[in-house]
Amino acid sequence: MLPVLALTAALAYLVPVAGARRPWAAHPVWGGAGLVAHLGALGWEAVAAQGLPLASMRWGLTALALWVALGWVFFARRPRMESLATLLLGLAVVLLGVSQLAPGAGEVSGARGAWFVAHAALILGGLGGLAVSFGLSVVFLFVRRRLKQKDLRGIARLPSLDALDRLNYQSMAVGFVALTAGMSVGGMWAATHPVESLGPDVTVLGTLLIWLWYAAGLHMRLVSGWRGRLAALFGVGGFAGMSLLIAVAGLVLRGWH
Amino acid sequence: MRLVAVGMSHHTAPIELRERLALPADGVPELLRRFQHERLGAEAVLLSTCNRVELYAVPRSGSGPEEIAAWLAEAGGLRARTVQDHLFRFAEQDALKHVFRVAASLDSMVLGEPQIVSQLKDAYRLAAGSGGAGPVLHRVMDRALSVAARVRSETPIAREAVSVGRAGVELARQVLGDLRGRSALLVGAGAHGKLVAKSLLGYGLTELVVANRTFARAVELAERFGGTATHLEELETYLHRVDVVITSTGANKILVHRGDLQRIMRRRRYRSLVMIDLSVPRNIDPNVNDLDGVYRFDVDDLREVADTGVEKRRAAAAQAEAIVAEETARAWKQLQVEAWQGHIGAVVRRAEAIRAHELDRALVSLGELDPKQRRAVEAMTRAIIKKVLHPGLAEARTLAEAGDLAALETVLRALGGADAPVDPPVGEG
Repeated sequence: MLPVLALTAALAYLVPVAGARRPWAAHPVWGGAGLVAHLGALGWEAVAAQGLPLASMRWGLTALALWVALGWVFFARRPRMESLATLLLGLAVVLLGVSQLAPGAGEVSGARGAWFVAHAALILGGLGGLAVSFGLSVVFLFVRRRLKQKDLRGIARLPSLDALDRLNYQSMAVGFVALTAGMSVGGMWAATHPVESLGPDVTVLGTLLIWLWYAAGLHMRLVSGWRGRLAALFGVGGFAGMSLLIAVAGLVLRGWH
Repeated sequence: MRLVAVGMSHHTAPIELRERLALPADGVPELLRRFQHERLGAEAVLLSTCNRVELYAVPRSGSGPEEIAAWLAEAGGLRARTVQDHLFRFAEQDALKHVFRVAASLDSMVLGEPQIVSQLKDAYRLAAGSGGAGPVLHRVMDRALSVAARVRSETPIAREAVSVGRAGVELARQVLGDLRGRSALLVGAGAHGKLVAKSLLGYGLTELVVANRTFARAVELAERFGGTATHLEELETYLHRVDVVITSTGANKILVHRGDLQRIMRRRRYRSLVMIDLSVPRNIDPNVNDLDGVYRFDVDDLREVADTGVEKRRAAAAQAEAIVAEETARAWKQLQVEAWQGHIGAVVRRAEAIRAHELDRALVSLGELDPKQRRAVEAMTRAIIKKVLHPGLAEARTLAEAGDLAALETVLRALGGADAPVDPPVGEG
């Protein structure tokens, strides 16, 4: 049932992505139907596991895809942000596809206590914010390229560079703060559970590197005024690192840790 | 109900004729009073802009588009016979459609331009204030303004930039977003530069600094735009802090070099800078576009944006025409029904007049009646009238609501109420 629901969600998300210029395809009913199927997929697995399976990589990635799809809800009704909203739906489809390839095994989070639930939820929230920042970075680079190359036809339909840069900074900052909090909570949880302590595995080291990357990006923005193209490149680079980490964790660890 | 639209527009007459017919706002009430006084029509609205002089009127019986067009020409000091080919005339549903097309900016020189709506509102306000607009034109103008609003919200006809000034605004907004709180530097006094600066101010630009080789000219321009003036030598100081630079000079050299701007951008911490170079030869080194945070556009870029806007507005016009056609058909039917409802009222008033007259005659022959008897007789005559008219009026109301105007006319004639055309009561005399 889970693959069917995930596939239904992905297909519904794909309608506005594939038919971006057709009015019927842009109707919010498609994204709405996708969100319902998406929530159904998450709920189905939670019911089957008799709790929130936050430790399951498949469930975690499905939840991450939902965060990204919720970005569509936020941006779709905003003037000139339709292209960004569509891009986020496309990203949600990719994440949903990856989630179905990821290992599904994992304990029910409640069994490890509230600290673990907080750790997993904050990390997923942080990754969601950084994924939205990636979407904003891609659209920023696209609009910038068109302006620089004087490809100005229909440019007024796209969001302004200032708005994209500001939103990119905000989503990156929110994602970074949540990631920091999630890592801290995870560290504290590991310290208080010596028997279950996981040690510095690929995920821990990779997450630390990603954290450093974004910390450097935000620092440079605040101190040296890195904005616009450089900030967008940071967003893209960080998401590439994040994708690599998820792939390595899935292949090597067969799970998050 | 009748409606007429006559006049001259940029489609039918050259500016030399239009300007002779044009009337300042303070002369309009007097003209409308003359129109009514000379018994050409019961109601009128005069729209006088640089592109059109048009009179929308509800004519009286005996007058029509030809008479009203001739009157308008002669009121403007023109010989009707010599300018008749330059006057357009629309009657009834075509007149209503014309008013809607004008309001929706489909008849404008620049498709979708927004000023016509406020010009139409002003014309309507003047006519309403001077008694020119009555019940019919109130409804026509209200509907025209709502059609204009519908066209603007449902089609992209007004969204695209079609002028160089607006194109400059669009490009600046594409980079900077909202222009409120932003500042610009205008270098030179070229026509295009002034257009762009004016448009930017219209879109919320907070500060404008004008630099010119001749400082007095810079002061003069700054005063006109509500900005501040500076010397051309101060250019670099302002490049550090403004968000938009517009150059429009006759200088035959580059005023902003890539190397200088590279240094300035570092100090600006790469805050976006929009540079619009409208000078020929160019005043801003084209290579500055390679710098991070700098977006340089020239007059060709602005023209491209404006031309694209024109194409898009043309495409949107077809959609807007369909809306106007649909709204015209609906509004015309509704106006007709409302007019015929006036005729139904006339039937009732006529019957009541007959009743009162006959009752007076009867009371004379009946002699002295006490108040109770008199009330009984009055009630009886009213009941007779009501019962006799009821089936016919009920049918007339049903036909009016269904919009079956031909059958309605037959019924009203049978009831004796549609023999003489009824002029609208407001605005007479």
